[in-house]
Amino acid sequence: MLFSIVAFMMLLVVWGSTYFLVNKERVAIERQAELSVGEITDTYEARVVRALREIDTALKLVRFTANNTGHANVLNALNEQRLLPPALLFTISLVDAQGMVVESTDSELLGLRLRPPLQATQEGDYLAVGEAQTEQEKQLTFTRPLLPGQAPTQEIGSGWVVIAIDANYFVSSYEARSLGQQGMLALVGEDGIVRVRRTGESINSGELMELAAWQSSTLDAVSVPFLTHWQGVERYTLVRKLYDFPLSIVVGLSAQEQLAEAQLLVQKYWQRAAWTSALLLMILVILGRLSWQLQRERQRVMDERVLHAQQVEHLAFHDTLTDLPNRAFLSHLVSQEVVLCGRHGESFALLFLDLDRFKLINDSLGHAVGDYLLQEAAKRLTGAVRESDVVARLGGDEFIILLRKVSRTEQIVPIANELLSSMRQPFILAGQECHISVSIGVSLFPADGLDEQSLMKNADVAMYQAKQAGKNNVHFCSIALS
Amino acid sequence: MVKRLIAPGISLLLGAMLSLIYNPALAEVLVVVSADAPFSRLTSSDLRDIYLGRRTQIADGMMVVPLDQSEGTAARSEFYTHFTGQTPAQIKAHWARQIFTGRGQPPQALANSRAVVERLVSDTKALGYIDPAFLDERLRVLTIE
Repeated sequence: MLFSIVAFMMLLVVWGSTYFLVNKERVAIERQAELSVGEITDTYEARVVRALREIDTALKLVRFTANNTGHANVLNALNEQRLLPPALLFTISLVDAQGMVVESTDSELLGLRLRPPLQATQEGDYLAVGEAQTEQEKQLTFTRPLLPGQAPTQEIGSGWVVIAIDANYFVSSYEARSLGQQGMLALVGEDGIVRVRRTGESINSGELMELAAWQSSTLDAVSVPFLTHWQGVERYTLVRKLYDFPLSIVVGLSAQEQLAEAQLLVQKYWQRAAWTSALLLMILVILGRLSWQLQRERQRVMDERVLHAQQVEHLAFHDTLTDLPNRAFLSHLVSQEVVLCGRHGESFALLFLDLDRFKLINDSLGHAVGDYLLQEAAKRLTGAVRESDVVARLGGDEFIILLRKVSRTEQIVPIANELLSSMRQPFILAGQECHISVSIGVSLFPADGLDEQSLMKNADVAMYQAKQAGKNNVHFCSIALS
Repeated sequence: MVKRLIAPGISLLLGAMLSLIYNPALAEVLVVVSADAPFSRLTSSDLRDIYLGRRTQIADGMMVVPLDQSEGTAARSEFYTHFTGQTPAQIKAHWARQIFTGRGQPPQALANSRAVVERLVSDTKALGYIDPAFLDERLRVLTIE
């Protein structure tokens, strides 16, 4: 009972603390994911803005140079001064009002016709962000008008400057180490159309993102990441509208990937809890078993002691040879009987028996035969009296019988005769028949004495007289007779 | 378009023919410096690091300025494939990441081997690679170990 309560409490502690730890771990991971989304977003935003500014600066530089040098060999001149972004990635073209490429860092484009950007119809300056598709790659194009007002004498008038760059450039900072395989870096236009998005190794574009819906779902979408479900992936997401450019960046971390680590840890915690519980239960079972065994052992020792005490007591009050009550027990019984009968006015008799010729048998046939004879005699005597009477051995060949509830000699004589006849049956001792007899002296309470000692003494005297009278007979105490 | 395809095709054919005559390690492209340059050998890992923008000095602390050739020239693809073990597309992705994250700028690109030779002659710190046909006595071929 105690053990099961202890076990229950300990299991409660184990599983409770595991649950607490697991929860803590999960919250910590979520918090960590939100923090890293914030950090990645800050870095990504800074890089995109810087890249866009560089592009815009290059556009303005080309325009300025073109407007001031008369549109001749502008790009070469700038390139020689290393003022243009590397041609390896950036393709810069000057286009005339008809859409014809007149100068380009990629000579393949010369003479091609480009379509004007949508904003070309409006007055004044603009920065148009468009898309172009070459055979190898998807490009983002950034366009600024040449602003004819500033160079009114030029015949090509209002052409424009275009910088085309591989769209991958804007997501090239994707690192699987921090973003995983399901993370997201994306550049999204104001129309919600994805300009370029990278997730793992795959780069996509043209999808629609409901940025407005996402942003309105939280109060502070700029710095506090929120969960989004998009194309089947749950992500901690941040959206930032870029300052001065018609673009937004979207950064996402896959919730599943971030929690995968925690999941492992959680599994480990639960496993550990299970092992601990099993161990605990095992220990408690063993302890319980030990304690039960200890208790049983103690019980056994106690039982043995009681039994031993009973045996000692029995030995103290019984004769070891015949197992009859001994002198001490008898005197106790007689004293009790004296008290009881004295109070109730009843009477009882003491019969003093002595085997005739016992000494002779003992000496001639040996002690073992003598002992056997005593045991047999005890059995016969016990068999000859009533259940309520007491047969005791005083020692040697002397026996005392306490006959309860007898008051007159007429009642005693038949019993005495029964005793005499029971002893007259021959005994088989050491292979030969032996004839034994007994002499009986009787004293009566209260007639022959009022205490145990006098009753014993009178019975003894009566027995002696019976012996004198030729053995094998009964003699009543003379006081009673008189 | 057609020109784009023909140029590498011819260079491949030429390369294949040349490789029958020369040791391929020396055949298609040579790493050269000015004859007045203070060094004549370079480990291949140094060369790779210099061209990928990982370092600007060689072992004894000398500044080296690498010169590139324009995208699409035969010497360029040969050089990168042979000495860095990366395809031009990988090189481009590498520089896209470097520029975008602000960690470096690619080497200055010149139009062809002739332009590289002209630059090398006037700049002893410069390092370049050229088509073997443009090798002359003003240049020294670096031993790449």
